[in-house]
Amino acid sequence: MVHIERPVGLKAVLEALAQPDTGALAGGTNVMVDIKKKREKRRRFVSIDTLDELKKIEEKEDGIHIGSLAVFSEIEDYFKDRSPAYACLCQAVSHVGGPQIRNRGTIGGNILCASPSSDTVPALLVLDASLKLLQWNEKDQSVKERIVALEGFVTGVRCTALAPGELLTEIILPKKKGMSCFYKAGPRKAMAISVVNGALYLERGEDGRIQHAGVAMGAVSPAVTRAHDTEKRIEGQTTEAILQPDVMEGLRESLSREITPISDIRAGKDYRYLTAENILEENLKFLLGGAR
Amino acid sequence: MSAKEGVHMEERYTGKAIPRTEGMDKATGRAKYAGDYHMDNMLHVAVIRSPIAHGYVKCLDTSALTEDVIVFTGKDLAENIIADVAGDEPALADDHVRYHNEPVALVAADTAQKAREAAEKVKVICKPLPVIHDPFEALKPGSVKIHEQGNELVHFQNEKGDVEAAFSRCDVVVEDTFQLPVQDHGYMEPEASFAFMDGEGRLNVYTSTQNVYNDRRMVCHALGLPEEQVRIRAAVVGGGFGGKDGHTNQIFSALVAYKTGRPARCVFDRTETLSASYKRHSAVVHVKIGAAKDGRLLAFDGTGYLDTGAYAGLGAAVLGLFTEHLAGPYEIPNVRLESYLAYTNKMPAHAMRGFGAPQGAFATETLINRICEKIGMDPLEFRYKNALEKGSIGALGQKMEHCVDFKGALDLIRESDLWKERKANTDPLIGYGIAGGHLSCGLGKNIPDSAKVEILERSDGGYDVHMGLVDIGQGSTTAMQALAADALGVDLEQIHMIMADTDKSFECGSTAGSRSTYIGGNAILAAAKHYKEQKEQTGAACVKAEGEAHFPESDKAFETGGFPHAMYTFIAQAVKLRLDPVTGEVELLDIFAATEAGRVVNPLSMAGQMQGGVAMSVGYALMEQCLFDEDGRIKNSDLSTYLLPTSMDIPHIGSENVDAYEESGPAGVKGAAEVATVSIAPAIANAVHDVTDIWPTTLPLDRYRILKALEEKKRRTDRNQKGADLHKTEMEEGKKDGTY
Repeated sequence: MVHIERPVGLKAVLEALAQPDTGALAGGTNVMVDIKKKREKRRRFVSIDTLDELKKIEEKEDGIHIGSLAVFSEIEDYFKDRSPAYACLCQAVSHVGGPQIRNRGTIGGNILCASPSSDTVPALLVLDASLKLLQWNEKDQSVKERIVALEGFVTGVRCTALAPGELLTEIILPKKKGMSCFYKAGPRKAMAISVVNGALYLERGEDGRIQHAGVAMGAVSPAVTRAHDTEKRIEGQTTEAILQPDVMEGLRESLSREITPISDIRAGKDYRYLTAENILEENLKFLLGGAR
Repeated sequence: MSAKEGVHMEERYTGKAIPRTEGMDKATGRAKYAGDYHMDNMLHVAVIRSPIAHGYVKCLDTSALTEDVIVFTGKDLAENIIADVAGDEPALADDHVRYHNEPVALVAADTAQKAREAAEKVKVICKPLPVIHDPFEALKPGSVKIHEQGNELVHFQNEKGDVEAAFSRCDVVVEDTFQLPVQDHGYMEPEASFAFMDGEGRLNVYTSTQNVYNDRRMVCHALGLPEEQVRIRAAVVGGGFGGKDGHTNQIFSALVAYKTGRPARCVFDRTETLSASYKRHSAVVHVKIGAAKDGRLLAFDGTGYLDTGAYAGLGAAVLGLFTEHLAGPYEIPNVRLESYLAYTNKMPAHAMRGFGAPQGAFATETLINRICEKIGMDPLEFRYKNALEKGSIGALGQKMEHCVDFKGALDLIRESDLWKERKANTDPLIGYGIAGGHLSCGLGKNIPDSAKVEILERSDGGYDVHMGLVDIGQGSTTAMQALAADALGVDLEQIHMIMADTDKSFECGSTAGSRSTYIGGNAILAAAKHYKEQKEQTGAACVKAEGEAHFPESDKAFETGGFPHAMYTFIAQAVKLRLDPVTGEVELLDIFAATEAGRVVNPLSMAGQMQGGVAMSVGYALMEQCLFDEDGRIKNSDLSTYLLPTSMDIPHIGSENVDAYEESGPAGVKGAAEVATVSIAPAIANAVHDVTDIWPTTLPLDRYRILKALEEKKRRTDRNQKGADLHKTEMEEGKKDGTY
């Protein structure tokens, strides 16, 4: 039997989460499957959907704050006509599952389920996202807050650095002025778990050269990570240089050294290597050249 | 009594696009499926299954079970054998388990959850045996025997003409080996049944089925009951596609209801149906084809190995039909065919829409395009040149005595926008492919294939039409209603169909073999004729009239029953697709299906059949396959790992029908339930070749291979471009200094 409680208000939710062996339940699109497949051992869940404050998406001084309970379709709507800097996130959420899942699944849940094939995590990583986490402190009867970078927060397959009783409340995207995009290889056009995906962020300096680059590929390592070596090779280059075949080949090779794909039921290792490199090249050509 | 003589009917409904008469019930949830039945004090049945693919059961450890659940084993059956064609399959495995998740025992409890949890607590302790993974292993001398009589179930050979001599006369010969996967039916409703003892002590079963009479035979045999003691009715069926033609779920609920006296319901979940229910035969097919340079097909040599899994089911019939259709809808003077049916330790392969034809068509229809490329002939014209016609002799020496208009289907393709626009295409990543195909109607030579219908007058001026066939979701109820209304000259609403009830209808055979409309329709017309004659002769109230119909049989016969057939439906399909050079994905852009199925009773239903068959085959071509680990256990038994196409994966499907008429059919009908599954996979493969230059030989298509081929093609193009640029530069420089 699974017990679900639905306390009202942040304090009540945090106190309930502080109980041992208890998980937070948002849209449920992962938790329900995990329970059915017996991957989820916890039997107590706290539904957090009364926390309306976690459903907002707002632009503030320090960037865009996305509530952890924002669902994929809301996020897509919010970023649809906004700065091209965030396009990768808009594209990523538009590819998750199908319409029903996009109306129900939350970005917080997608991050915390820590799947290597997550569609949102690569996009959030190249945007330098950070996470706001709250926890009830029993000793001094107060709410503790910490802000951590998303990079490094997912530590392995289904593993994160979320402390017991902690609640993810916000995803914070710093202000960005570049451009980004996202590409997904799935086994079919909808309701598909990514076989390989990739997000790219590029920001030019005043001299026209790439000043900042963000490259993150999904489904090619135990936890989605950024390819920092490849990013450094992109940074400092001009558009023309990057699009040169030998430079592009060098970037592809650099990426292949930074990923560790496996063969599994969905695809072979060789296919993942090749497709990851193709996605990087395609993303670069799209942002620098224009056409898909 | 022929249904054809003097049956004149005004066609108010036949030939019109009528929506399903049961449509509203299904859309509103009023339709009652087997899993919807509920009675007080009922039991829920869960199945205890084998954890391994091959072995002996040492013991069933039920020590963890509580007293409120009941366990049943094969010993509780009068005869632990499923009374089907083969007779090799126990309802519940006794001491020899032959596939992963084979049913071993049952647990009944008063809630479904309790029953499932109890089933999980039971340990099936086995001594493993070596696992046979494929027909080649199975047929190797010395391999472990899955059944006493050995692993080779059928070996068939036949030669028409002199194939060796013919090959030596050919200007072009192509050959290759092809691999086809295990495919699941994917019906929306998994297997389900509900059984109870009625007030007269008779066993009643509602089941999701394709043949209530077969079900009754199976239940009676297993429980040792005479037929009068058992009543089987089809519930509303949520799809069958061959997979519910003799499934065993109803034996389980029947056993529990009979032994306990309590109603019992057994509903499989998606994992059970994916991992353990019947499947399409996987196959390895080797084909060699030879032609003259003017495009005439001269020689065909095909060998197929079909994997029937742990039990035969209808495997022998599938092998027969596979063999019969392998050489395609073409007139070929020299044909050698050889086929093997082997047991392996997989779930049983059985009837599945297409019944062996799709496996062979993938091989032959792609090889034909290879020949066309070699001799520089258009693939549509090649097929036209060699097309079977009425009076032609088929691959097994059987004469085409019924309506044949494969050329008509090809004509429709030729005139279609999809086919015409290919000349104007400039996108190197877009490709076009075409394939032909055919599929028989009816159950085949020496298999009893008839139907008997009863029409009774109602007091309200309408008619009750009793027919044993099951509507499995293809719309046969509506089709029969339309034919009956026109034959009797009344409104559609005045016809009440009473179908698939062993108490209230005569046996009409399975809803299978693309036969329902033909055989049921002919029986209805015969009954209507009988009714009218009686009315005319006696003038008084005619209480009831009967009519029978029999499927025509081929003159040819072989030792194995089930083939050849006398009547075929023909199809040609064209595909337009685009390949994604980043991921190797195949994006279907447009499909056009042209079908010759005699007359079309209901264009709406026909379009549904065509589109559904195409969608099923898109899955076969692009993404569906059951995967097994080295111990023979299935790896993908849920819908996130066994992938079916979504609506986003299916493009626009244009569907047109050849204007044809089958003299022996009711209102000119043949049958078109399955034929749409035959040609899409080779059409897609041919379109992939159009873009990449590779010839795929395995399904589902391999994206990695497509990506590498696109890469290679790009390298060649770049090299050629560089060479062309270099040449251009040299020319210009040569012109400048006069050396050129």
